[in-house]
Amino acid sequence: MKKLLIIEDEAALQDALQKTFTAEGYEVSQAFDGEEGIKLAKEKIPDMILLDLILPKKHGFEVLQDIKADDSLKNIPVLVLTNLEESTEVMKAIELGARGYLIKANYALKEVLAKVKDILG
Amino acid sequence: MNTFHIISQCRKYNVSLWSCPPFLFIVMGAINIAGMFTTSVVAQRFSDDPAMVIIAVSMMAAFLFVVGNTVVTSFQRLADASRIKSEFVNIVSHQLRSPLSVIKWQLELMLDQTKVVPADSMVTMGTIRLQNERMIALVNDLLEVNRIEDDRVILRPTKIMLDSFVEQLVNGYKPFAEQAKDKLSFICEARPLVVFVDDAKLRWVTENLLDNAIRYTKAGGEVTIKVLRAKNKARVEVTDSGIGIPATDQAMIFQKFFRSENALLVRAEGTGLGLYLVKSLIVAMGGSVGFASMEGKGSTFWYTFPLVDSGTTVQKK
Repeated sequence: MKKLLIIEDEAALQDALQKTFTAEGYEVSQAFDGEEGIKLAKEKIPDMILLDLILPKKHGFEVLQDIKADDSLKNIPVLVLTNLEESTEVMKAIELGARGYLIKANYALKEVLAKVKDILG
Repeated sequence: MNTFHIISQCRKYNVSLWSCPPFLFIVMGAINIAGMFTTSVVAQRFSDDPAMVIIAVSMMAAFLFVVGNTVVTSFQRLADASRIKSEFVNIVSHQLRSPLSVIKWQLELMLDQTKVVPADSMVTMGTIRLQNERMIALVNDLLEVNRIEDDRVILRPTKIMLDSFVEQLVNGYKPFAEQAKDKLSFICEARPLVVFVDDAKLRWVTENLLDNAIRYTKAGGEVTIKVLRAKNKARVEVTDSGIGIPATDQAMIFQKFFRSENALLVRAEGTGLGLYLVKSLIVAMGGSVGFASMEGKGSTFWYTFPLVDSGTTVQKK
């Protein structure tokens, strides 16, 4: 069973993602802020992380930096799921090591699922 | 160094050099010096009294200072207002996306679990979903307009086969044309036609033209998409037998928020951003766009892109 960590502060989005991935047989952990996200990542060592950018306590970019700086976490693929779309943000996420960048409003849950499956192979 | 500093400041304001406050400040300074010098020359010619010359020069300096200050301050206010408007649209649009994505995903979950939604509510749910998608598209359009105005369009160009690219899009529009009872045809006069464009943006542009052609053509009409080679360019033409554009409106058709009178009668909704974005995106990708239309007879919208060799690598813009 693949382990997934979702770092997202919006409860309704967490709920939709959790239901979608659980139904597909993933073991889902949920973090509602950046700090909790890092803590859970270290605890669970997931196969993949879905990361929002605007998060309480710690911004998504800082979370991404921390993940990439930690030897036990740096190889976990991170998919950024956000509604920010400026070229500077997309570039920064990719530079920091994100494997993908999806705009939540423009992607259906099925498409997010397909992207995750594609990255996990 | 100072020149570069001014250019970078003007870039920040995103206005032309002649509307840029720091540049205008320097221009007004130069005008001030030139004005004072000219006044002193003229005053010395008409008066031998040094006191009179000093008074004339001082008055001219004061006058030019006030005029210069007014000009620079006014442009500063305009530039600030434009920047604030742009930031406001950006923030509001991004903020709107959050609740819109919540509705989108929750609806998707609900519609997938048909047990939850009674069969007779499915139509209503479908309508809500359609309206949610419309709002998302509208927010995306607003963000794109903002990026175009601020010269921040994100382009990811790659080489594509324009002929098969357009053919696929036309095939996708067959159900919509059938529903509208219009005949949709695709003609390809040359292939392969390789162009270097952002395929997502070109898809948006082409779909927008197809959508307009079908939407503004009455049942029983025809919409024909032709792909051809015109010298060293690939050309796509979307021709319809629709309502056409009145001659008086034709000059304004690519303007932001413009909608022609007869279009409003056919379809009340619509923002008037579509063709503005079509033109801006095509130009940003290095292409050209135009149209020919006759009211009551129909329209042909076309765009062209320079052909590139499929074998050689193209330098990214």
